[in-house]
Amino acid sequence: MQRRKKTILVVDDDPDILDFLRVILEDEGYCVLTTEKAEDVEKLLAGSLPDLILLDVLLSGKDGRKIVKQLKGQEETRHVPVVMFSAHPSAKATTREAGADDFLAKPFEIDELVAMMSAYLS
Amino acid sequence: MALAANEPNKQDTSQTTVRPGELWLRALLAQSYDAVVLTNANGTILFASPSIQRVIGYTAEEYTALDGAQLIHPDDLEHDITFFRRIHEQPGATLPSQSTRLRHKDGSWRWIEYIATNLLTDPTVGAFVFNFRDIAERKLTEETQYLLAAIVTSSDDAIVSKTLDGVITSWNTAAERLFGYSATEAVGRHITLIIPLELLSEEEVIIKQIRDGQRIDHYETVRLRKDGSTIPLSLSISPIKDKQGKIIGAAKIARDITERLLVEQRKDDFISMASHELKTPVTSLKGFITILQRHLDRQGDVQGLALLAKIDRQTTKFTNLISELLDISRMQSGKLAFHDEAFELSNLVEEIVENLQQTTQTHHLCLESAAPVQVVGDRERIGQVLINLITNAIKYSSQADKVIVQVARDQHQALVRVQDFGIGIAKEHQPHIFERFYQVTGAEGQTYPGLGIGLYISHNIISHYHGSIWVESNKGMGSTFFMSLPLTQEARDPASSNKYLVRE
Repeated sequence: MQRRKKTILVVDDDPDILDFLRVILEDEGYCVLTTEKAEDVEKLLAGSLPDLILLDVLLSGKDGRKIVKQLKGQEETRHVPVVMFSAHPSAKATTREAGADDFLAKPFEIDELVAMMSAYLS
Repeated sequence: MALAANEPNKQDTSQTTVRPGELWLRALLAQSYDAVVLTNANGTILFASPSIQRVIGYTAEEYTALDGAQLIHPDDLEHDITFFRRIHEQPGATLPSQSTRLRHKDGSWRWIEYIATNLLTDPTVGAFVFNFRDIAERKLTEETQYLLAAIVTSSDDAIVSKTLDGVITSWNTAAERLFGYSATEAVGRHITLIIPLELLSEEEVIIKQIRDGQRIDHYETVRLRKDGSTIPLSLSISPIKDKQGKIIGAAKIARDITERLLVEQRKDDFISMASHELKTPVTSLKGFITILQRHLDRQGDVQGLALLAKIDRQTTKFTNLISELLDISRMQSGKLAFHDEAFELSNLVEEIVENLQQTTQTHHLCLESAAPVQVVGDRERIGQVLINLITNAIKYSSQADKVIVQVARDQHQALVRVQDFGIGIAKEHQPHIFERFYQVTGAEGQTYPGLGIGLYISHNIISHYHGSIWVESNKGMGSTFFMSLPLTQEARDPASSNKYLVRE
């Protein structure tokens, strides 16, 4: 029997980034949910929880660090690994403080991303 | 009875009849620094001591033949006439010193100070007695002081002086403007008046340096205003010495850098924003390159893959340039972030050599030796230095086919050595290659790509960790770059604790 595919929720306000991440991560065998809007995150989490969240730091309208703080503060979502990414390398420290499990500096190597995903999901 | 001008000369011829006291008096008149002049009630010169020549160039004889008033500067004439009238009205009185300008025999104007005594009614003298003194030097000093005071007063920078105990001794107009305290309020108070509580220790350090005779240049700090607000300043402080060269205080020039900091902040914000904006599309670009790579791979399109690899390499170069630009901006404003951790340097070197070898077809990167050694620092930043040194070695040795990398350690430091067999660096360029924007033009004006900031950034990173980076090279003979980092306490300790154990 085939094992259930792991689901990754990707949040970034740049549609092109969502586009390529979907292709690459699906190619790697993951189920991918994407959204450009921070306010959709809650809706997407209301159903079944993803196995990992890839979250941009600066989203239009909301700071990704606030979302991670909220997720890590709730019993139901605390265990979901959150990997944040940003084009500001200095954001690494603040994302850690906010509770993110890992950080990727944009532009990242795809191999690095893939390795990180499998480290959390296999 | 009035003394005739030529009387002293007459007396010279009859010295034998003169009593010793008179001789002394004459010697005094002749040698005195001051000149003594006697006039009658109308101002006609009756007598001048020989020392008058020292003051205005005319001999006593020449001077007594002149109309004294004609030597007075036109601008001082009225004042001097008024003075003469006043003294005239007060028999027996001595009036305090006056200054006036007299025309010297050489035509120049000389500042003279004089004191006058009205002895018209004294039967033995019957004249006005004037004491003339040349005060040119004093006037010059006064004028210089006036000029300096004017410079200090009109300065845009605050200029403050204090004793070695920190008591404020002067406070110019700009200081009043900058700090909000008037000179009257500030002078006599302690300098801590304007030092924020949390920065009080700064003053001790400053005074210590001043006592040692050292200057402090462009020290950037914050001071307190009268209204309690703070102001960012650049301070230059130098010792004040007395005539004997003893340090008696400090002079401080403070420049308001609020505006400059604002401009710097804006520039930093802009570069930070610009770099973010540039990196975002590069992220997508790299993503799509990967997708296309996988696609071509499946189709077995070797030619397409080769082309794509070139696009990928250029994208990486572009990414590195953006990072360098951001780094240099951060470095200048001292905002480059470091995330320190202890790590194994040889592992990092191995990793980097391996990664760079993958993208280098022209050179063999030989990791000749890699002694295990722990250092503390930002692994990525130190990696950045290593990448810079190795890629430089490749870039500047296009005719060679290998680069040698070594990691070594001694008691105190870890040492990485990167040797190439390329064009080398002429001696005259070597002291400058770690400077910002310094680029060496090769033979026949050949230039090399890059911003000329890689080694500058590397030098800054290594200096941050109290390490060193240097080069040994000869033109045409290749270059060897060295990078050293101090060992961690733990890396140094095992050896010493072992010794301890042996002794026990």
